[in-house]
Amino acid sequence: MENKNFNEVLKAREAAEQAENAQQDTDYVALDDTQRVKVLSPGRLVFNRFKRNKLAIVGTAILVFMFLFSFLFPVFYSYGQTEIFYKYDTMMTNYASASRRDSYSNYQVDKDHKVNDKVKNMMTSYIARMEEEGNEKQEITDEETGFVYYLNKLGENVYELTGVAQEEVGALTGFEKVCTYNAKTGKSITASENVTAELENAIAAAIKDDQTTLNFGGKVFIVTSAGKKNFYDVYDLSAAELEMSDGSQADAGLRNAVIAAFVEGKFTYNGESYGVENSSSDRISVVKFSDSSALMLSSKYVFHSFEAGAEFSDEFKAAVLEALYGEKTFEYEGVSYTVSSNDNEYIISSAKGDYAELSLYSIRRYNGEDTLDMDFKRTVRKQIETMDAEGKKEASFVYAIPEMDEKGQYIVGEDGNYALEDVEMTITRKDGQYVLKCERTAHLIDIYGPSSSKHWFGTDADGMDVLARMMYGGRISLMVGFIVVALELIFGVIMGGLAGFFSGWVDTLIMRLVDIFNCIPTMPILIILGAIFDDQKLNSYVRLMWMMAVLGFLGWAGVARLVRGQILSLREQEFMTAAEATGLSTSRRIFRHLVPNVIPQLIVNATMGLGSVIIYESTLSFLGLGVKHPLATWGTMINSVTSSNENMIRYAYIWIPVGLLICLTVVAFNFVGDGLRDAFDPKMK
Amino acid sequence: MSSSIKEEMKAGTADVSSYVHDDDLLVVKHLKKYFPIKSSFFRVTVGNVKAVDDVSFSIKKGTTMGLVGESGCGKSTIGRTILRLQDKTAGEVYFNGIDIFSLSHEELRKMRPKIQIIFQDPYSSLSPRLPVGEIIGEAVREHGIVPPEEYDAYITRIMKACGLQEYHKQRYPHEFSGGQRQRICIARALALNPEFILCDEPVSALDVSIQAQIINLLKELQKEFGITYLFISHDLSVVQHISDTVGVMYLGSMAELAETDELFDDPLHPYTQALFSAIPIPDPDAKIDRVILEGSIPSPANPPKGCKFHTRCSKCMEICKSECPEFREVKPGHFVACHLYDEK
Repeated sequence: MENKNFNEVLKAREAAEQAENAQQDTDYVALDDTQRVKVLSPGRLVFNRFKRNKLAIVGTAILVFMFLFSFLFPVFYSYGQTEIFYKYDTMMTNYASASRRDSYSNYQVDKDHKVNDKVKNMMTSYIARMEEEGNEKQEITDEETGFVYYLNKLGENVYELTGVAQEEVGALTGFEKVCTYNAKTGKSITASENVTAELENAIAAAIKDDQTTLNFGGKVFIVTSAGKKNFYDVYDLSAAELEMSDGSQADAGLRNAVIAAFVEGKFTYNGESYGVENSSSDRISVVKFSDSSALMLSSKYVFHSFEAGAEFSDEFKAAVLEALYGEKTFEYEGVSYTVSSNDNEYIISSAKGDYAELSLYSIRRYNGEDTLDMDFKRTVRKQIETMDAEGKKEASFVYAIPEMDEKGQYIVGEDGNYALEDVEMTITRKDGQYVLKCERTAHLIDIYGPSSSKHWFGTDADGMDVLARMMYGGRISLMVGFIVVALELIFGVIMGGLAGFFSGWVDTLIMRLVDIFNCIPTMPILIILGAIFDDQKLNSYVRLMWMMAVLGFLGWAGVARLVRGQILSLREQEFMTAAEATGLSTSRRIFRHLVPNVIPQLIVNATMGLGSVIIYESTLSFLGLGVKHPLATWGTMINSVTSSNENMIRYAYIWIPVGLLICLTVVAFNFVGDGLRDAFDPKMK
Repeated sequence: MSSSIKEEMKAGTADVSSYVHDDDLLVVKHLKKYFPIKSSFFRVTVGNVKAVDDVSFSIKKGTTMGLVGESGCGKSTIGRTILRLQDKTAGEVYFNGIDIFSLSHEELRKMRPKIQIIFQDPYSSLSPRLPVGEIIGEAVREHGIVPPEEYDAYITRIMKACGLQEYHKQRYPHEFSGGQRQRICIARALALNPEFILCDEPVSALDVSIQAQIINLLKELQKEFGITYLFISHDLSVVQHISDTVGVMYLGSMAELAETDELFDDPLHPYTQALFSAIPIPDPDAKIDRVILEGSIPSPANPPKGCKFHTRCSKCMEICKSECPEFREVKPGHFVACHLYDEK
């Protein structure tokens, strides 16, 4: 029996049996089911079991469709995911706006004289007061320079600002300061000898009577305040002489007027205005005031040109305004113009014809261009006036404006002019503004376009094709799913494998790490990261990479735990001991006995995980934390129509198909995962 | 088989040499296996579970040794330690004169096919993801037991020898009944052309009819291939049926060891007597003289002083409580560890 090889023994036995059978020579058929059992490879068995599961087949079909839809269809689909589509459409557009001018515009006449901004501001308030009170003239003093202006009303809605010219005409000399009188003590200080007690009494009486001139002893005295309380300067003016600047003999009346105005500083003589100024203690200059020519004109009128779009210079406008209530004719740059009035408007015409019109309404295209023709402006003005007279807020009229084709181009008629079409204009008043609206063709981004032959699922809020975005969105969603799950598996299998195989402190360390990762609340972390990514203004693709990395990094703990648990339980199984006892090498034990028993769970886990990662990505994108516009994902597509309840109902044709895609994909992954789990389980029949 | 080791073994302690013979395939000397008890927090060893405490025996080539004892007495631990599926604490195991624990891992791996094991649970001892042909043949291929061209035929032959059909090769273990699975286990062990098979309660998970099949299969294979068995069981009648020698274990130590007939006819150790009195006799009129043991088996972590059995022994003497009895040969080929048989 020593060292007998089984093979030899068994061979011998087989040979003996065959010989015996041959002797019997009967072709009996053994009850041996080799004939009826089909031998299948393990992979084939798994496939057969999988095939038997109807739901798994449905899931597989859906997934195949999703992959084709996301990865193959876009190749043949002519639209890109970020392609924006436009359309031409007639829509109520703001055509023009009109407003009644109630503020004044200033036109500089004298270029050399800069009028202070303060004075300009004062002008507007004074004009308002003058309009209210019906004044015709108003004096304005520039407090900084002491310059005096006059504001004159030239006519309705036109005011003129003139400056005041000052001219020294003469000087008063020869007067003498008598004393400074202290009214409290009744004593005069620095008195000359000829200040008598009687004079002092007279001064006191004059102060008491509040008089400034005092006749005493045939002399004229002036009592003025010395700048200090109770102190008065007393001048003797009896010897004062007025010297005229031009050397002429001074008018005695003028001299007396100057003396009388010694204190007040201003007086009128012979219809002329004068002023006195203390230039030194013994000389007083006398200035004559006179009006200058206009410095500035201020008017409410708006200038309209008969030539559409023509601009007027300020000089022209000033010339018009000057002539408006005066000569009615003026010359500007060699052309003479005449002004004629027509109700509230004034028409400026030259020899060539009507040139400009003044009215109180500003009527422009809505974009601010002054390109409307006079006839239109007049029509609008009339409409507004009737509207206001009737107290209505809205009015409409029909007017012919250049016609547009459906592409938004003006149609040019055979005669070379724009073809006109009658359009109904609506005027609406709002806050003193009038807005004119009409139906016009516009080149628009085709937002929320309904389903059409061009765009089967319509267009979204940015005018992008929903179907194209669904395809590209599927690409990203599926790609994110696969990459994240792959990352999770790589991390998880390595960590779980290490923990399970080495046990001891490695296991403790890794499992505590897993515990920590399980404790990390994923959503808040992702929300914070989303905010950081927003702050960093990362490129959409870079952001996508980061998101996948973070999702993978946060998700490995579950896989690690699964792998570790499997390996731990498998290691203790008797078949592992048996494998050791039969002397199999370590690598063979790991790869033939351990791994095949872990892989099915991993595949199932990964398949199920794919669904949940897709949901995660969609949720993040929906919350605006994941993939950013314009990169399409299913989550962002749904997000784009959730701004309001109404939107969700109205644009259901956008989010329902996308939502269905998400649901179908996730359900399909779960079906396939279930199917795989059952198929991998050899105990399932 | 190196005879020098045998000589050396024989030159060793008398108690061992007395039961070591030239044709012994397996010799176990003073084998100890303690499992440390660690404190829950600091992981400091606070004690030992003495699962196998100084056991010595040997098995002759081509024979079967039965190992019986209560649950938890260390039978399976001995088995696994002999196979070096776990480390020993002390002692030596010689297989064909080679100290198993002195081998390197690679040498041990090469040696593995010679020493096989059949597990108690045929359900968990078969890898669920491998087909039966692969389970049986994997190690055959690995060790090159047969030339590659004969491999398939060889597996078929082995399977047939174990009562399995060829078409079972492609099937998975879950498709088989318990008895068939145990046959697969036997086939797996047998396919490696082993000299020694450790049968660790191979039939206790099976119903009686299947048990008979398996036992008979094992006996048949032994007859044909001259395999040596160490048959661990707590089923005394099975052990009686299959074994040539029987060892009785109590609390990690060998209580009695003798030829099967000798032992069953004349059990010397009070524990063996108690154990054998529990064997049912298929005769309703037979009067059974049951020896009822009091109490339960003491904890192997804290075994009693002196004779380990003294706490439950009906013939306990003073000496039993203080002195550990020597395991000695009281009759030719009959070893017992009991003070009752001390030479006066």
